Amino acid sequence: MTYMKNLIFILTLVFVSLNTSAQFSKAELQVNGLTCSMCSLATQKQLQTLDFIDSIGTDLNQTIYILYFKKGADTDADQIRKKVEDAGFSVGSLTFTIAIETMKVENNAQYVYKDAVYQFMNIESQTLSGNVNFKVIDKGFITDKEYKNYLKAASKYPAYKTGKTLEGKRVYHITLEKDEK
Amino acid sequence: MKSSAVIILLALSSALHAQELYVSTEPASNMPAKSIGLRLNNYLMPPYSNIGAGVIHTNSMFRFNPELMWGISKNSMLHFNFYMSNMHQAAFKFEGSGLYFKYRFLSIDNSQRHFRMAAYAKGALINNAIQYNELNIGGDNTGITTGIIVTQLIHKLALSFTAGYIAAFDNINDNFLASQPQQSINYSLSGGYLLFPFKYKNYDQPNVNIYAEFLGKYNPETKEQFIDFAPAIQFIFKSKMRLDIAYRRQISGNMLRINNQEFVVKFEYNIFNAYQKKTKE
Repeated sequence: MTYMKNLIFILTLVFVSLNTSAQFSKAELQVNGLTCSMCSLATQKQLQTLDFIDSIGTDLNQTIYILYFKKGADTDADQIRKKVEDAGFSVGSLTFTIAIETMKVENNAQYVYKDAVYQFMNIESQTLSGNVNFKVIDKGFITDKEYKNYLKAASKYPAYKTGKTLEGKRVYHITLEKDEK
Repeated sequence: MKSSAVIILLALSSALHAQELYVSTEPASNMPAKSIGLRLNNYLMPPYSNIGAGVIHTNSMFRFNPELMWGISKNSMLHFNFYMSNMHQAAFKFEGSGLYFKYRFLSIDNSQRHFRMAAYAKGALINNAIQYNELNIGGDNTGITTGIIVTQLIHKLALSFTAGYIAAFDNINDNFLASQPQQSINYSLSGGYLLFPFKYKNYDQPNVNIYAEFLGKYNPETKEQFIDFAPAIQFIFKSKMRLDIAYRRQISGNMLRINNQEFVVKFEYNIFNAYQKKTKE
């Protein structure tokens, strides 16, 4: 039930009432810049030092890691990115899976979850439920080419360039991926 | 030679980016931050004579070069080198030590490919006789070397180019003669290919990489040069141990060198997150 308290709306764009609990269960992390298994192991060992990660599944051929989070853990996308970069590589994509009961979302609305703010980009207003996948589309979480494309539309999303709210709080820009099969 | 074989067998050492884990050169990529590796480099030169130049070695020569490698941050790494050999006298002796620093200043990653550039600098203090005109900061000469590395990885193929400058100074107990060169330009072109596995199953699967490297030096003072060809095969075990076997041979040149061929065996062991706190709930 503590998730409920944390997941509150902070801007005045839309009011979202959350009579639900949310849970970050896992993330699919695609790492760029490597092919060898030694590089993959170095990356995995870096990721294993993160305390919010419970276990890691690997697809070595596609250099994809499935990060399973500890229940109720405070996930930190920037820490994940830093560990990948420390191994010598970069994040190609990071998609979180969040389990929610029911939640109404609007484009450009910001939501607070734990210590970070999540802002939706390029979505239709809708009601979400079940396992929802959202992809982080900030700089450093997608390829530079993709980032430049998103940046073109950034005037609508003032925090996109800086990744921070006016108060200096971290904002992750997220977009919805198709529901898990 | 028996003792050296034992050293090779006892040796354990490490690696980082499979097909660009070149045997005779360094890639522009770095070690992972906070990792430590131990590399045991073994160089064996068979008997060699170059009568015209007055170089006659009736026995094989061997150099053992343990190298401690430290990934300071994602962009910088340091290698501590120790050299011992019988290359400049009949007895096997400690020759000196060297420090190598590499800084990666450009990294462009995409899925299963990357482009990287790095700058390096190395210095060594060596106690050997100065007998040859090939300047080598890897055990023969006191001096410094610095250069640039460019590496491109495209899935299973990696290409790398190095260009550097070497300045040698007097060795600890021997000085340069006026006729001996003290500067050299070095360059190399390396290609590496991941031969096995075709498809990764797990971290325990051995990897096999093959390499072809061209290594050259040019001494502007004496107008001497050489180009070596160095093919190599590499085995990676448990995704953290590496065994390299290379053969290096001169394909063209006029430089006064210690030898025109060399066998190289390297054993490497990596400890990832050697001193990184593992936070547990």
